[in-house]
Amino acid sequence: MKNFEDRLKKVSRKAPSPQLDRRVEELLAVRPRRRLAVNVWWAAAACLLTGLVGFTAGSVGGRAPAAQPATAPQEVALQVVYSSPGSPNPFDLTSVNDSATTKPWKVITSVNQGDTL
Amino acid sequence: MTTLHEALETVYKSCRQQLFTCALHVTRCPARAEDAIHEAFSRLLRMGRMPDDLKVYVFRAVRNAAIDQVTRFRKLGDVHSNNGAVAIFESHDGPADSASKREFQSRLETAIASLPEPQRDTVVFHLYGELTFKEIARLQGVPDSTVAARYYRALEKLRAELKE
Repeated sequence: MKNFEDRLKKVSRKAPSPQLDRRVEELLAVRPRRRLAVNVWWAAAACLLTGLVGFTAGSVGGRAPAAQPATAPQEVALQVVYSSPGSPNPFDLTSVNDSATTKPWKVITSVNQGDTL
Repeated sequence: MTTLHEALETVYKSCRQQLFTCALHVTRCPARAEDAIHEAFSRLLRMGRMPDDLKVYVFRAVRNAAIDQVTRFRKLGDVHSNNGAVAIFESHDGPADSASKREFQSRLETAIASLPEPQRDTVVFHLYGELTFKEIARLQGVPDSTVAARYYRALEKLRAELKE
């Protein structure tokens, strides 16, 4: 029986093409980045612990949380600069400058006479 | 620690011919057998985890991918005839082959084709896929003893057919 088996094994089989090797090599060449395997329970425990520490530290030493009123900016809130498109002289550098401030509420308009050629 | 990529590379390099034979046994077409192997490795890489018995897992994946290939092309009406013919052997019309060798191979193909499918698969997987009985048992989901019984029954039939 053993001789018969050996004879059967000797019959030559069709071989895969070199193209298959290339295809599989290409497939295996794309290595995934190594990622640190973290157990989900350890991750959950770390989150819980961090939360507890933060809450305890905040309630012991820190101030109680309070709403902060939003305040309007004190300085210049708006500044608009106009050029002089109506001027027939394309080199007229005269401009108008609007500034608005709060506290006190004030709008300042200034005209800067520019040089003309 | 060996990564899945490295382990798959090792299995491919050591079992390249056997995987191709097993895939070809199912698809009966070399191009589709190669597509099945490529598809199986692609699926295994997407899975991303190392199974317990990688070698058997790879063979099973290749066999499943080969079956998928056959099913896909059968739906399209384009399938190589599944009449039990053996497609795994090298064509024997080369000048180097002796007449007796060619005759033996031709008779062997006919004899294997005449076996019932479970016996035929077992013979091909063990003799030409070089899988152990244990590995075939895991692959087919049957006890080891069933695989051994199928193999020896098939071998007896082949010997009678080939008048050894």
